[in-house]
Amino acid sequence: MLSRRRFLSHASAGAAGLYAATMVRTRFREQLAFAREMGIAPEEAINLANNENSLGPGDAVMDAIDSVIGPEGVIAGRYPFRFVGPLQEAIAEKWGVKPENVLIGAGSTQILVDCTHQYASREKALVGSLPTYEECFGYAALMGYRTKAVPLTADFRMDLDQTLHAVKGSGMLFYCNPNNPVATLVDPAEGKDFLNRALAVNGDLRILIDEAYIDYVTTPGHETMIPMAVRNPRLIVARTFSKAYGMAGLRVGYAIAHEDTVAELGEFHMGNSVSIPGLVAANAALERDKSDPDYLPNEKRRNDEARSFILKFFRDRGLDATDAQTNFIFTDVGMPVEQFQAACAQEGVRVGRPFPPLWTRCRISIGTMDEMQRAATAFAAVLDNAQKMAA
Amino acid sequence: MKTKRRSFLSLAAAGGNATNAAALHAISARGREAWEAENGFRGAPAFIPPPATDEVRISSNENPLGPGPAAVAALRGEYGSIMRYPMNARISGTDLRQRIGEMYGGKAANVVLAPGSSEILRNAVRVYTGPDRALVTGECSYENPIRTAEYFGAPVKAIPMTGGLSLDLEKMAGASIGAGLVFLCNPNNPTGTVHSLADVTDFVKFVKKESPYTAILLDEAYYDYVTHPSFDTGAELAMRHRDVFVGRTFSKAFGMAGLRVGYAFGQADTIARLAPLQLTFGTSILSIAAAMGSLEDPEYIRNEVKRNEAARRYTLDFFSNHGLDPVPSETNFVFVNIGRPAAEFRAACAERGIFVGRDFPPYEKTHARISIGTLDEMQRATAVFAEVLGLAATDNQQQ
Repeated sequence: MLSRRRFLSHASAGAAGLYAATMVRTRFREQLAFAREMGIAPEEAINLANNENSLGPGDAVMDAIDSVIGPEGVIAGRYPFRFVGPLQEAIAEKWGVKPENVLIGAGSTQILVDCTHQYASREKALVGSLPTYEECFGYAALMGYRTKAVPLTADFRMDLDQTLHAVKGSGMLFYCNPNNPVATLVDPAEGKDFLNRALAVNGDLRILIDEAYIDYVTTPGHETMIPMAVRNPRLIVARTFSKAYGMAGLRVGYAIAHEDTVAELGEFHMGNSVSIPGLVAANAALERDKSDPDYLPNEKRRNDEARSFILKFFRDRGLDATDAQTNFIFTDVGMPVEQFQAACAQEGVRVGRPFPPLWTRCRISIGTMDEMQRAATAFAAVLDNAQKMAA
Repeated sequence: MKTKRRSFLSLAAAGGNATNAAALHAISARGREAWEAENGFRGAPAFIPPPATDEVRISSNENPLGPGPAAVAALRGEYGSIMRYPMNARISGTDLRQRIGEMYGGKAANVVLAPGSSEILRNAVRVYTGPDRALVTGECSYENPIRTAEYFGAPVKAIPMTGGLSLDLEKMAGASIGAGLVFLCNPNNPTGTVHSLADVTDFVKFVKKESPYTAILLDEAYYDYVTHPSFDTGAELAMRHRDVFVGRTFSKAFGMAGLRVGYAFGQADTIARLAPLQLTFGTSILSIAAAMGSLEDPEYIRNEVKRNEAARRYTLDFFSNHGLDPVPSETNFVFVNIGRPAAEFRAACAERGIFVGRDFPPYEKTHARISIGTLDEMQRATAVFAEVLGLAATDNQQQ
């Protein structure tokens, strides 16, 4: 218990360590804000930088938000705790679990931090692939936790064998599947077996399964690990309303886990972190899942069409893009990604930040088909220009 | 000022071991519902039914009217950005930080946002306290910092209140020497008392002189509701001193408890120490927009303060006229000696549709905290109080 109650200690981390850790988080934020700094108004730019759903959350959700706000916004004066229970119930109902299996966070970000805090430490490493989504590693760096980053295979997939070695003696595995930023999925036939083997080689290991992009997976046979997590106290599944549900701005995500694990995470978890509009919107989205079961599959199909279009664009130009299972692609751009990013920004298209150490690959989010067609024109101009310069 | 400084010094040794184990025990033993009332979900999920329309909720120091029209319009104006992360919204967190910074003669770098000021309090404790760097606070003050310190294993010096249920600034100053963080809740929740800017200035100067590495969090959640002329914000002190910072929230007078926006203001270096621990994009884009809009309509806040003052006056008079002894309040709640356990009073009121504040140790056997609703709500509430407390209902009609 005491081992989880860690201080952010200037003294023990050392001034230099704290400084470095702070820089990791600060730089991450600055890179996220890159396109904004280019001085492009959001309305004018095509934003393919942050894996958002350009279409938003849909009318049912917007109506629910507007109706809870009401003409005068009176409800906003009240603390949100009354709206938390109903959302937990709705999530539990969707997955056939109990409300005690659900922990709601300000985006899945809060869940990622809760888990990293609880299960990694200065002694017990955080393990994850390199690259992967940075939130857990950013928090670990800030706190001075041990980390082990496992390079990807040649085809940009998680290296399961090397990960199995790395989890020995470690505290937590961050298993982002599909993996952001490389867009690849662990082979459905191997995934569950890998998780079981990882749990077996290290009896103390906790595995955080980030399923932020699962609604966009088109590989047959892939399934959520929620049923497994509910049974096994050492697994946590993180989900978000920021992607397919189109409400990144409202900051709602959740964890599903065994109820003992939810209670354990609750010790550190900061409650009341989600706003009333966020809680109500998420609830309305789940309500729509019931009344309109085609909504999410349609969103998946829409994304798949736009994704196939832009994948073909890059592959036709001989640029190698990974097997994307997300609402973004990860592609070779044949030049330093910062150069590509800046050139695209000049064309009014915002693309993803660099993901070291893959310096010539770019993460490009999937917008609407219209946006992707316009973006492709911009990408063609950028790539052609670079070719001319080289010639 | 010289006298005060000497008296601070003379108390330094005595204040050092003033941890109040009894208070801590009582707080940790508090019921789940009470915890949730101000802190939301923790651990085991809770199910609280939606409010009935005839209920009077005067338990969480909320503004019963919610935000003003400018805030609501700004919130609606941001609907089109809901799919965007906060840095891509029309109004970003940086825009709001810049706007707030300018209010105090600073910049965006002087401000860190949070989903409610709770995160500011929590991260202040995480950054500035440790096993050998205590938290100094009042024995009957907002408990969030104590809970955080307990969780992380930092010692807590909870200094007993004065006879008038104010924070004992002199004893707190003494206890602050060598401490990690002082939590100075001004006005103080739950007692409603306030300290003048002059006294707070003396306090800060003393602590920073005698114990330069001790941080001070001036929690001004109820700043807007204060009507006492000697009170003012400690923002200038925060700008002048390293590791001194002001915590504010949009949850009280601004009527946005449901939107989760708070912030800390201080020197850029101080804010840079707090910022790394904040949740990434903890505050929603609608909330950022609403906060931004609310700052363009100071008239709404002035009216809310007047409205609150009238309902507060009515409530304080009700108790005084019945021979009870409410603490003079500078906030949107009153703390009153009802001469019986708060739990009993709370349960009896709840049966009649009136919901009042939780237990506040070490006064939970005698005092209740009652938030200020609308005047109409307070009239309904006081009728129930008269019934529950066995008070004659006539006196109040005369005031």
